[in-house]
Amino acid sequence: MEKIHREVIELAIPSRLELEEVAVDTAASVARIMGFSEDRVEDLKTAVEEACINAIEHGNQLDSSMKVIVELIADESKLQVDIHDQGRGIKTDIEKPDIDAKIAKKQSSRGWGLFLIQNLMDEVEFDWNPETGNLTRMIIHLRK
Amino acid sequence: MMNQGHIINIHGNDNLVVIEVHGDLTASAEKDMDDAYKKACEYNTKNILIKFDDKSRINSAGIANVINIVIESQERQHKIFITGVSKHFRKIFELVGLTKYTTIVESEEEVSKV
Repeated sequence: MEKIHREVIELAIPSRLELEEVAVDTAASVARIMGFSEDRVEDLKTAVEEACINAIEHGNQLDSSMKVIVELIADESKLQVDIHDQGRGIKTDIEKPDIDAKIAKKQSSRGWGLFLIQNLMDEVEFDWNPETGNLTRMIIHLRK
Repeated sequence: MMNQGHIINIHGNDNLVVIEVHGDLTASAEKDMDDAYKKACEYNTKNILIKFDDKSRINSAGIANVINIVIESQERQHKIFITGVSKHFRKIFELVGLTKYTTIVESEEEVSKV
């Protein structure tokens, strides 16, 4: 495969559930071109899906006139996925999901999105800016 | 039952009820999964198998759907088996801890051996 120095692909997705699949499929295609294993591609697909659903549901409140911007930034050693929405901060101080607590009905059965993102990606950060809104940044490294 | 992205069927006998999930297990499958479990409860068996196909995908909302069934199953003393899961699917189940409350089997036939 030709060496990638730095290439950026940008998508603007209306905030409607199911359209996250566009980002998932695009991210998977880029990761395969870069040479990621299928296991890592599957990790990426799940993380991108969860981050986009959060952006659509919580960030942009399912307002389809608002866009979720997905930037895929590929270089020789890693793929960075930046997901922007127009929300006012990502709530990351939520209780860590615990299967025993959920089965015992002490926690809601939902709330696995951030957990999956953080466990499947190599690096994750969240940011908020009053001008640009929420940012979820996820990075996976190529290990050859 | 048919909805966007998934089809859920149910069949069974006095030994085992099978909830077949074709397609994606996401938030849109919640009601169909609940309905399928309620129908499964009508059978005279304690063994319930959730059978995915090779195209099935799951997200965090789908995980919640399975957890809801596990919660109900604990109260009704049902044993939940899972089959048809991909390597990634299994990884997700292990990551969230669902393998503690369900048994992953290779096939429907394996349930009788467990």
